[in-house]
Amino acid sequence: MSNEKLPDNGNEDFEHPKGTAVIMAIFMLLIIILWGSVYLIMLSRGVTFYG
Amino acid sequence: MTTNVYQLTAKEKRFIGWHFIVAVSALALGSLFGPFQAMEHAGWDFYEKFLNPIFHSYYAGLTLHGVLNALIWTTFFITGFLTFTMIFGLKRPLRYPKLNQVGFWMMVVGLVTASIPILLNQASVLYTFYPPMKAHPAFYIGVTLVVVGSWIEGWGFYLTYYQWRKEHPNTRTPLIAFMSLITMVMWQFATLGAAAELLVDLIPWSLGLRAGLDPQLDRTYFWWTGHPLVYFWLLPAYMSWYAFLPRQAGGKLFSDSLARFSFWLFLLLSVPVGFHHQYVDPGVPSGWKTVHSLLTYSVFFPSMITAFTVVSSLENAGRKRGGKGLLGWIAKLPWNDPSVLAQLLAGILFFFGGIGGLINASYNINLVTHNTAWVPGHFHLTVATGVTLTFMGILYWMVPYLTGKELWCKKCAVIQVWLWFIGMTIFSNAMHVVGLLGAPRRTPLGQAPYIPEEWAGHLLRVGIGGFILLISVYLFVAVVIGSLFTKKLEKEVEPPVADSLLDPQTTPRWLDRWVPWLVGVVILLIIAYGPQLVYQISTAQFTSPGFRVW
Repeated sequence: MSNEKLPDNGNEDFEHPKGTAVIMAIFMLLIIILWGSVYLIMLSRGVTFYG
Repeated sequence: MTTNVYQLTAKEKRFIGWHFIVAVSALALGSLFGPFQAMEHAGWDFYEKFLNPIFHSYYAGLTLHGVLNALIWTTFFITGFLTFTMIFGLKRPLRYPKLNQVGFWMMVVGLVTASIPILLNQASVLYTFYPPMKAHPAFYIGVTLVVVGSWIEGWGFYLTYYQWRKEHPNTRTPLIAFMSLITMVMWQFATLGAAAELLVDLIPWSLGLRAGLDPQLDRTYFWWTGHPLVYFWLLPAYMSWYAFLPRQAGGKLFSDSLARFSFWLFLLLSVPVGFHHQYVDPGVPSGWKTVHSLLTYSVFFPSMITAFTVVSSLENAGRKRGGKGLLGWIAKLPWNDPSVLAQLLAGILFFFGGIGGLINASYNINLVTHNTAWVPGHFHLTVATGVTLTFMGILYWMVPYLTGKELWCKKCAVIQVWLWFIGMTIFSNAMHVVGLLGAPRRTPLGQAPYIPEEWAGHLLRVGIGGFILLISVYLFVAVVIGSLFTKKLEKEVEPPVADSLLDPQTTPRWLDRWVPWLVGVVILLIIAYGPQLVYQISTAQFTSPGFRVW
């Protein structure tokens, strides 16, 4: 369909994307868990001090 | 649906089709060697058993896999797809079609020129071609021709847009044309680094016109291009997710404005991030690595806009199809359509690729993953799935559109997509895990004498995943080729360009203005790269001779 066409004058199809919000929240949680797990692997390999 | 649709001529379709023929051929050949490496890791060495003396080394195969799949399949597919989106989006022919033809054929000549030394084991330098490894000059010249050819096709797009803009001064640029232009502009900013590396350093060096190089400087040039190269692959996939997938799924684009805003941010932020690939390079100061690290994290913002907008659009589609509840709409999406299925599964695995990307971009924990098997595990979720599986999905509607013939064996296409998803899940997960255990990348692990017992099961999974992917890719090639011989469609395929929930003409004007954004890109590049480039060039030691390590 053309982008120049005027498909809707209002937001008749609009419904708040609640399911999307849930998926985004799960995604953020996964980021924290997976990033954190690699961070812990790094820490488990020991710390190097300078000075 | 509008009746005001520009119908591409048979000649235009043929021109686009030639891009796809080269792209799919490159994918078919290049993909043979990826699974061979995966199976080598599992202890099934087909190189030794079957391919000698045609392919002399693991690294010749690895180079062929990287160059054909990461550079050629993508670049030819993208230039072909953008040719379609420019013409169809602007509803007009290319302003100077001969210019685009010159670009295309230059890319073909470049492909042939680069392939010959790879096949003769004279350029087994992998697709990153880091000096001081030295390839035959034809390899560097060929790669340069491919890049310049793609630039020329881009110039053809700009001139077409310029003409369209003169005829439509007050109209918002149609979304698919707008996204195509941003992809190409970003690519041309991005490839300035590779152009400097190839034209100033590698080609004269390989021809014997320069005695030595400074590998650190060339790595900086390369990664100027190397990371945004990922966005050159991704933006056309995003375009499909934003502007085609919602319609294919039965819905509308959630927000035209958000889509455009994210693309401007990708243009702005994709390029000045290269040092995050050089965290362990001793010649780049920590401060600049930190700056690039922060800029890399800023790319997370348009990425999340994209994730939100695309999933919202799919939710809109799923609800229109009768989906109820918080997540019930997911099951209502048309999972039996191979084109939709490919893009949905590509998106799911790409979520995990994004998380891996955030881990790689972290200055501290990058040290855990750097140069391990984790990295190819990561980019097989991004370029080899988020991008490649999406491109396959696009071809599942574009081949019938271009040929006017039915897609051959739709069930085979559905099976192919699932096989890719399953194979890549097994392969990539195993590569991530074995990488965390310390397995190096770019290494024929099947020959390594130091493999600990705990890697063995994961390496077996790498091989199994690779084998499934091998079946999948050739099933894809079979469907594409088979579709050239099916019966004619009664009704021509209509490209599934989605409407947006709100009229695009109401999108703010500042999201359709080029100058401020282009100025922003240049300023950000100067800030992020200027001081370091001046320093690295002024202190460069052009003393490194070339090495042939294969």
